Amino acid sequence: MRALEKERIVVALVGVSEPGYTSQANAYLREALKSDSRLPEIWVTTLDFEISFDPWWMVYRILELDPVPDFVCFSVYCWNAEAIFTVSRILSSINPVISLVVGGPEVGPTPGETLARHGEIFAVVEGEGERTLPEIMLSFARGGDPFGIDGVSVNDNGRVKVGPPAKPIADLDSVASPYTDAHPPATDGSAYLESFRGCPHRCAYCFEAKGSTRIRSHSWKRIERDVARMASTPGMTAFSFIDSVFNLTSDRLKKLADIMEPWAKRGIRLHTIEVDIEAIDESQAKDLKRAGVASVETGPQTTGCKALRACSRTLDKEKYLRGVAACRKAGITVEADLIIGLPGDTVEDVLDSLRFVLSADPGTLQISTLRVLPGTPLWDEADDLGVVFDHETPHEVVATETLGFAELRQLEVFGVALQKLYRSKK
Amino acid sequence: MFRFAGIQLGSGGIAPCLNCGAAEKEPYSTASVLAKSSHLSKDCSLQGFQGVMFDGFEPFEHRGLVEIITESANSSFERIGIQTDGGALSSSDNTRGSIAAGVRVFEVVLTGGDARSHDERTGIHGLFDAVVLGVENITAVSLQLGVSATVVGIAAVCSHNITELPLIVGAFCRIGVDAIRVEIRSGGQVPQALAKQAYEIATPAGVALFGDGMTRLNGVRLYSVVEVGA
Repeated sequence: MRALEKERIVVALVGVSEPGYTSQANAYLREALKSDSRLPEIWVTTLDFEISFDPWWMVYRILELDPVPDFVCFSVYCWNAEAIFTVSRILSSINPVISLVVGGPEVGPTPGETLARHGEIFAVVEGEGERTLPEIMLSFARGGDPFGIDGVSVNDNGRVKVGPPAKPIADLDSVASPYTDAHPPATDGSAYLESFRGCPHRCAYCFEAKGSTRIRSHSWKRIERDVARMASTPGMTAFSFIDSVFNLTSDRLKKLADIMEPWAKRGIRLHTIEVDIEAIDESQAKDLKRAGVASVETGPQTTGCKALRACSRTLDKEKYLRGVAACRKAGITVEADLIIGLPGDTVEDVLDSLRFVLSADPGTLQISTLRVLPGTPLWDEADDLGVVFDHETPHEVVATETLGFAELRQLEVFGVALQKLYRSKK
Repeated sequence: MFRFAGIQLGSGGIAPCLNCGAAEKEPYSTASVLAKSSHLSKDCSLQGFQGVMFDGFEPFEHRGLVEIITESANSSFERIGIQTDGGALSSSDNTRGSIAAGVRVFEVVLTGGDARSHDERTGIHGLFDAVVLGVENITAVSLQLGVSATVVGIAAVCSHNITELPLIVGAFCRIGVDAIRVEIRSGGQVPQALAKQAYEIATPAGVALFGDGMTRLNGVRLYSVVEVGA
């Protein structure tokens, strides 16, 4: 790190997202930086690119920034990693003075490997960036070395130094809201809120729990305020929550429904809410409806017993069907997710899973191929479970002990066609 | 996986092979088709049907098509399909009208892997090119109307063109269908070597192949059409 005393820091937060979306992570980081009173004057710019955008043109846009940023920061996921590392490489070759900082689920769990492979990256942030990134800026402003800050690993002139992991932010209300008057949420349905972080489940392929089933919630006061800000945005019709389980408990769901109900009555809808479908009975379905929920997303991911066990999941088929039926009765579309390639699943298991989900007639079917993500139990246990996957992003499964390479590809093709046919309703 | 109730709009088949000796083309009355459709739709879910497929006679030559589709769209059938030789789909008005009326699954027949072969076999000049244009129209109109429509290529094979199966499958992959169903029209089996060849063309192209004679994935079919009689 260059030992400079800085009175002004210029930061570019770069998001690379699916078409129609902007980076929620960058919105959180922007507000965290701007609301940190310890920092000197800080200029924060967010740049959002679509994943289909040519990385060279992303670099062009970044280099156009005036003043030139001291830091360019990226949130890296398995699906945008390739583009981001290309941008980083080109950017660094043109202007090596810019410090490149990356965080996010693709790099956070493997900081040493990331820094070793991508020499142009200055620092990797592990865990929640809202606390760590301002610490890095503070260190920069003071002319210090960010190594030593929990959750920060650095490339010190070619020497990779991996820092200790950061503790989760205990008081979630201390995280600034991503939406402000200057940066209102998008009104096209792409905006999200969160009422808590963490996940009560520890599914082996998912990084949501991050090794802990501890739930950290915003206060109800904060949730009410965030909902009001979001729902009262002129033109807003729909948004979503990124809570891992919206119906975490019946009481919590009721409270969320109480908060949302006045807005739902004005036509605001919640879409693609992740739920524990097996917990949904008529009463919960009514609360979801009251909250304005139009669609929910859920598993089962598979019905194969071996795969469920290997992934630390359970499935009660009767309760699943009851939950789907209750939602459909309440007029709520269910998006049923299935993953092809889970360890232990055979061709017949995958086909049985498809048959089961079709029998539930959820409304929407989402079939994807397993990705073995860094930081997940599956990443660590893949060898033991006989899962062969591509170590390059997006880390798709290549073969398992029970599904050969060709079978996986055949099932993928079949799944895509089935998904399309299921969607082809009048 | 899915079951469609097959209701024939008439006799004579779709894009029959001339060498097989085409059966006489005769549409069934609109009233009889509607009666069958109405009867089925009342308990379609009880009978395990997820949709209805109108086949057996070129739909765009049936006078009652609009009425039949409209009635079906107002019934409990969630998915409405038609099997067609694709000729009429080259007119975007026909394609738009079908999709707007509620057709969501289009089965389009090919009997040859290129224009010369298909047109000669069916005796309809320009039919292959019409299929190509028709599939393009379906994709474009679906996008415009914001609906999802599935295009399934029917690889219709008989003793006269069975060796062309891989070529037909290849043609469908290039045309851009969502799936291909193999239909053996003269009975018998697809030789395993040909089935394998066809499968190895379709799968890398990302197109699901299923139907008569195909045994991969334990013989599972994306859907089946259960003919319920005229």
